[in-house]
Amino acid sequence: MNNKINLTQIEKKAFLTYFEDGILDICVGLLFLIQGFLLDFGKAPFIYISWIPVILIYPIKKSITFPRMGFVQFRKTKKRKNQKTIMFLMMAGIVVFLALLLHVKILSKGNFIEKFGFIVLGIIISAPPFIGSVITGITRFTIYSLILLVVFIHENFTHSTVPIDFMIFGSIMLVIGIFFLFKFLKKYPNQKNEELSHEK
Amino acid sequence: MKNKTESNGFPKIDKIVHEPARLMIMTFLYVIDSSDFLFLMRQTGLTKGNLSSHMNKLEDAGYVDIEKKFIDKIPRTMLKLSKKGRKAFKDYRNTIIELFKDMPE
Repeated sequence: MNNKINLTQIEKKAFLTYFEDGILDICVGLLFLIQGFLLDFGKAPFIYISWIPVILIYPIKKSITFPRMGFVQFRKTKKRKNQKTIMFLMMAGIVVFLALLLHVKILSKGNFIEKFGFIVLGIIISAPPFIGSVITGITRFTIYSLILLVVFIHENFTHSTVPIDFMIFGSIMLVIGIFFLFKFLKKYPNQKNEELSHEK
Repeated sequence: MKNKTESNGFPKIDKIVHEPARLMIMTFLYVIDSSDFLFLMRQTGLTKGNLSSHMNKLEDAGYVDIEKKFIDKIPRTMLKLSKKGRKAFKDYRNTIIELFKDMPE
């Protein structure tokens, strides 16, 4: 037995089990993959289609995760605290970033955005998964964030095609997500609800 | 608590909370708001029968409340630590801390 386990870690463990299913990875991976395909085939006006997998995250979780994992409601105070932390970090990040950008733009008197536009975009896009990973403790989102940043830095200097980068990144997320989903399905077989209610 | 010590002066330990499986169940219920039976079973690693029997004891002691509610239009039986249960858990913690406070290394 790990003697160092405490209440915070138990709460964190309970929270993290909901992300063991890989559904978030699969849906976000599909988002990037579809966006990559649409951009590559010149179908940019249909880009909204790529958000369908993201909209489906909760319904999929409802049909796959909850019947296997059970249902939990976390304390509202903790939830509020988390939301406040997320908002604070995002706001602070955006303010600092904009201030930095303004400062650099003033210093360079001009074409900073033209030169480093993709890096700026990469920082903006990779920030949410990084902040999310810091707050929730899902370490693989830090890796996704770093991959995204590397992709955009690579894009900035090589001027390769963004759609291909999106497709590669989406595929990586999708494969990792599928791996987690299989592991989850194996670990938690489906349970019939009527067999599992606590009735005296 | 009416009697905080046994007749020999030893601190009175709440046996309902003290049992390892029930302590684990109460710990999980303490850190969350409420959960269904399956979630608790997954988290504690207890079997259905075992968990059910411990839940009965906790319910009889008034430490757990059972709420039937609709979440996303699905009826769910949610298990929640009652006020009495939360207090018992805190009291248990304080008793154990007090007991080992001056223990030499």
